[in-house]
Amino acid sequence: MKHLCEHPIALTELLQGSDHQSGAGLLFTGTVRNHHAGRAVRGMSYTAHHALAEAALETICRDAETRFDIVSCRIIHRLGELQLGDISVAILVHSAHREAAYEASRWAIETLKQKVPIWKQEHYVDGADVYLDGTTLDQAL
Amino acid sequence: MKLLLAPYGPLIPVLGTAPVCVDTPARNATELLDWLHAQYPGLAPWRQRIACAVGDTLLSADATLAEGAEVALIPPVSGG
Repeated sequence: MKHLCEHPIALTELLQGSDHQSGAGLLFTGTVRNHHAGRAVRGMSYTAHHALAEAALETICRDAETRFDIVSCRIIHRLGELQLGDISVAILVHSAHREAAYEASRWAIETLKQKVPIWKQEHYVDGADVYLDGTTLDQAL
Repeated sequence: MKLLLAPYGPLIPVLGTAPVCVDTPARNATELLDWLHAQYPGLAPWRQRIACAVGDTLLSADATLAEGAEVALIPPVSGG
């Protein structure tokens, strides 16, 4: 299953289909906001090491299904140039009961931010373009 | 040996876009990064913060590099 996409994330498509085991479906989205650390933001670019990012996102989904009492976890992360309000990441968790879905969704986004080789570059209204500092991978040398 | 480097994210403004061709005495991933830090002072903010990968495999510190290998340089990640 592909976790990276270069086009707007289709939430309707993501939400289609259901299983009869789940009583809860929780959708988290990350979106591009118009400010960061007091600076006005006009947009964002995302790039990735495709092979490593796909593998890391797949591992997060499968680990979430093992760690938490959920039915399924799906993650889609957008790459390329995004405008204000665009969705950069979507995480959909289904579970029998809502508590596990909330826990798994939170764990998934936090783990994504620590483990997945994706980079965001903010574009500011003043014309500057800045890569945000991120989380060092455990495998750094 | 000759290597092709593929910098990602904030390393691109320092090293350039892939492929960056280098001729280095480094024999493994750690030696490559040590050599790069000496060659490119602009890498200082990422000392001990870069992972290396060949293909879809992240390299250990002593992973031997092959002549002509393409080595991805993975700085701290910031997705989400």
